[in-house]
Amino acid sequence: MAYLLHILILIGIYVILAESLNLIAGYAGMLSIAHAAFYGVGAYVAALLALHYAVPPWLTVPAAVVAAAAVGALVAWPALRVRDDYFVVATFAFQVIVFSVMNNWVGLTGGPLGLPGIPRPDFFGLTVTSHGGFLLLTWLCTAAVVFVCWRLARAPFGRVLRALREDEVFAAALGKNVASFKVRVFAIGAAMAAVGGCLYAYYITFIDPTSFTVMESIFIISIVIVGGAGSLRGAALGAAVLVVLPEALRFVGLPSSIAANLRQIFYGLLLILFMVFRPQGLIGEFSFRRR
Amino acid sequence: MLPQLTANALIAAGAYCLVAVGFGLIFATTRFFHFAHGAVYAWGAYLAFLFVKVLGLPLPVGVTMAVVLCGGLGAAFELGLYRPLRARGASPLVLLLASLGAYVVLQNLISLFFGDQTQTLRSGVVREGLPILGARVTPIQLVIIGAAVVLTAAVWLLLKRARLGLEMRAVANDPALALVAGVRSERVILATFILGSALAGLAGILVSLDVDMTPTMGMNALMMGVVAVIVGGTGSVPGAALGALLLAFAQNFGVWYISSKWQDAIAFVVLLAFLLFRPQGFLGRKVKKAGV
Amino acid sequence: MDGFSAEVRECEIVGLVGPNGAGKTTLFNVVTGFLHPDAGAVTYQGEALTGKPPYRVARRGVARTFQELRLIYRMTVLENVLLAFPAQLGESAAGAFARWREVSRRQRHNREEALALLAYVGLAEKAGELADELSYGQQKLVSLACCLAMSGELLLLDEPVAGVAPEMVEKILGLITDLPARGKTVVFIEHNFAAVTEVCDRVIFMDEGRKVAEGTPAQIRDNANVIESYLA
Repeated sequence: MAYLLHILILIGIYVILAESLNLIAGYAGMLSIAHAAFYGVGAYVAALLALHYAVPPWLTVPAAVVAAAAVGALVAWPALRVRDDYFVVATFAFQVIVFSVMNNWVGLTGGPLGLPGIPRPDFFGLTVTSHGGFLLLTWLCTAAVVFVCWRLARAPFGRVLRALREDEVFAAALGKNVASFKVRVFAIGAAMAAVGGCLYAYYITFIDPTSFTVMESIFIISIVIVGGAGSLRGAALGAAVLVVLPEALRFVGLPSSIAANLRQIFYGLLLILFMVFRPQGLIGEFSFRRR
Repeated sequence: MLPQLTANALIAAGAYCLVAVGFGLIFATTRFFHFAHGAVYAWGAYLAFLFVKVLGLPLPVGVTMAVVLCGGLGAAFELGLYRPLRARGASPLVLLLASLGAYVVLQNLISLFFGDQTQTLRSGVVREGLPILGARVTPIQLVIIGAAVVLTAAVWLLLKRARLGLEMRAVANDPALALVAGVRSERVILATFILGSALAGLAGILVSLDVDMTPTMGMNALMMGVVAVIVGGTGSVPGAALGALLLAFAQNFGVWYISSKWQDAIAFVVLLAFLLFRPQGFLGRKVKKAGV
Repeated sequence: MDGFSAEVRECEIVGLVGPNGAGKTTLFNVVTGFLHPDAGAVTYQGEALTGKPPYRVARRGVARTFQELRLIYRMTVLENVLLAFPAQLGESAAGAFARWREVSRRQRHNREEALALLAYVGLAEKAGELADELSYGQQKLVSLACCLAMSGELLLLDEPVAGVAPEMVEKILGLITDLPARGKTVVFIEHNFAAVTEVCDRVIFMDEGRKVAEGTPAQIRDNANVIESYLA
């Protein structure tokens, strides 16, 4: 039972990560493999504040969100200068730099050993410790994030994002400040990813850099692609599929290291297959092809 | 201190150069970032390990076979993945994503077959290194530098003089025009993949003879190759070599001021600086941004 | 461009003609901020526009179309027009949340206006279709509707009737002729000299980045320099 709850919590977190990346990559068309960096910034900021200064969650989360939004805005900058595949390389660079900071700035982040013993979140006297409690907390956050994405997608803001994805010259000629939108969507997407990071930190009570690597970013972008870029339901579907299916490997009785490799092979293969046969994903709108 | 730092930089530059020249050649002719190049590098080392350590073949034989198979791996990528994708009109972004997926699969296959622990190709005791001009350099490290110089020059000559090289430049310059001029672009691209991948495989083998191998070695090599190509300028072999040199020197001399664990971060800050302010690198062609 | 200088008066329809490569589209790009001139100035209603980014020029009231027909093909016709409306509260992230009710109200209002514009250009029944599914001529009408939705007063149209079927040419020209009555000023690039003669008050003839001649369509047609440019 605890296992089932654990999976559901993970799905909830990955839905948050996928929906937030979907806003950036699916709606605005800016493919990024830096998302694990935002996720990590959120986790580390919340963890450090909670561990060292006993800051309660209703303050650590906003702090984490703001920090990630700032990093997100920074990552958007190259998007204003270079075309999309060069931009992916830039996001790759940011991802590695952030990981480097997490791994090497031992005084701040604990380096490779990470931060153990993160206190459970305490909401004005109510401490969340059980799996059930975390499930509720996670899915409340997931619902909030999905709501935000839904609102933004349906508003004129979302329409401009889609226009940016398809033809930013046309959007500029219509009076849209393309640069401003790009920076904003990255900041918002990063901020939401940070919420996922906070949940992760409070739930596992231990974080280390290995959870926030380039591979993790590739995993998250695979979710968006498999589910379908530019679709809210697609991102959620992708998260469910890519978190649940590899878990089936556990029941086959494989040693965990092999299962870990097979899990990565699984999403690596899915990424290839979908790019070749169905780039718009299961139920997506955008297939990463310019007209 | 200075001579050793210089030596270290040259050795690193040699390794980066071999990776970068192959990566750059592929990027120039196909115009997309073949991230799986890093996997070929790692597979080169592990194939050599398989032939030499597991099957007991002599080192030169094992190495040659591994390099050839890497060329084959490059061909497999082109024929099995990229060519079909290009035929469907895939954008550089789609090719990059497929390439990422391929990298993930191949790295994990290494872990599955060979395990995650460090493996070694070396057969002897770790030697101290010969004293040369005030620094200590081991024979294999000299080989790395030598191979980089010789092979880079060879590729450069190929591009300047040989028929295949001219065709590669034609395809890199203007694929449509090359086609009209009678160049068999598909064949040229295949050759580019084979050559570039063989170089990557050799680089992986040489580096692992120096510092052993792990499944994730490809990611790092790839990163450095990408930085070198962008800094030096895409579409230029001397550029890739120059980028490799600059990067290696920046990292190794940076150790004077910053701890060596920040080397990756240094490389990527350099990369970002170039992407933001001079995306064509030192010697490369202008990178287009969406515009009228 | 080579020392080009011209003036456009309010509610005029000016034709910009010349051989290929004369610099007509380049001129549009300079005026709308897609290209920055090395020297010279662009002034609109007394305000300097030189060196401003395209979105600022657009917001000041200069709408344009593109020679290669830009539209968001994956969106519906209606969405394309809605995109063009200026100063949308719902385009700010904060606005989309804090003032959702107001945003919805304005969206409804914009929808009505958009449908009215589409009816004006004769595409009301196509509003819900993807822009990709329309004929080329209809797509040109959509881009014209977008320009009108921007509510700017100057329209720069780059080859509005090129590649379009004859009935559609008449329709588009009819709409252009009607624009001054709606308070708009139009400059359009065309190779179809008959169209230009029919619709324009004034014509500017360009060649090699310079203004070669200027006058009424009849004056241009009979101008010796113009004839020479075409024969050269």
